[in-house]
Amino acid sequence: MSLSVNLSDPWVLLAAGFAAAFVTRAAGVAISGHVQPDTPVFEWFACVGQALVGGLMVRAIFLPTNPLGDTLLIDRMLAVGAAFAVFFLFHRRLLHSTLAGVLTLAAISVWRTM
Amino acid sequence: MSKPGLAGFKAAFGLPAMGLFCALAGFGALSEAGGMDIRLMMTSVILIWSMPALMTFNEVLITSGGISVMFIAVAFANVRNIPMVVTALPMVRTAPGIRWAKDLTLAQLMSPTTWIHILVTSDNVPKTARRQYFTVFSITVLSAALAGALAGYFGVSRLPPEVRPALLLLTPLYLTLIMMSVRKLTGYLSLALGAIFVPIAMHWSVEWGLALGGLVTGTAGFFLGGGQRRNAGS
Repeated sequence: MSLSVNLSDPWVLLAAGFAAAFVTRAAGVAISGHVQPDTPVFEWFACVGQALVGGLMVRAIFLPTNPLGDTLLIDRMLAVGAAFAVFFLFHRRLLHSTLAGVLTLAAISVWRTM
Repeated sequence: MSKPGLAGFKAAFGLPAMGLFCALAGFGALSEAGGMDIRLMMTSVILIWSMPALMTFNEVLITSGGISVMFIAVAFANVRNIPMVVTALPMVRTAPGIRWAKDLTLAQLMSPTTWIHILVTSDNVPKTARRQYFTVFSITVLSAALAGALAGYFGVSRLPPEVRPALLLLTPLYLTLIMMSVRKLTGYLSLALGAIFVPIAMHWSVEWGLALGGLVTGTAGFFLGGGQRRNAGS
């Protein structure tokens, strides 16, 4: 009897994602108490993570494959601009800045249908 | 502190829980829009439990990146958890040394919200009460996040059609702003270079563009920001 696993099955991909997330957390536990986090290799790892996630977020906002793509690019840019403005003008408050961006896009979308 | 669990719950049941509720509502809406099964979404939130890694999981799933790309991408997206775990665990231990079961449990529950709370409020919590306090704190914010994911998943279809796309902006925007809160030149440069070149690299190849793009632009950001010089000198 052979057991075949569909490697593109979402649950298999979730298992891979969980394994990857767990490995990084376990690595954190293993080296906690032994290594100072403020070292070059940690900073490099953080930089790669930052670049990778940053790229994915830009794709999610400006090249979306979901209904966000139904809105105009200029509207999304205005919404992101509003979020950044609130972020830098009001002490980097995450919740306020994020809501400013989301509400801006919602307001523009409603305005365009009027 | 007579009831550290209750104190941890009270500390979490405010802005920390609300922030994660809102963030995961965006993720729920995004998952629903991408056609993800509700059970898969809820399980992914519990098992992966890190917004950058969850978004990476979502994007790789949508773009059909494959198992190896999923592992590499989620591992790199979650790498920023390593310093978090490394710095937080010693603050909740009552004795030196690793206690695998307990430490892994707290590490698995840890999010940036919990981590910041541990760093900021540890001094106000007796050392013997900290593990229970922060475990309950973490479970509370995780529960709020799950409720938010459910609300986003099912609530988005009840919103007016012209407002729905705006909710899909919530999570990627929140994460971008979180990354901009890290006040390091190397971090800013990596974020900017990745934001520009990773999507281009993914246009060339979804599978390799993500991993190689992140690796190259992150390394470039590290060196251009002087990460190696500052650390070598310190």
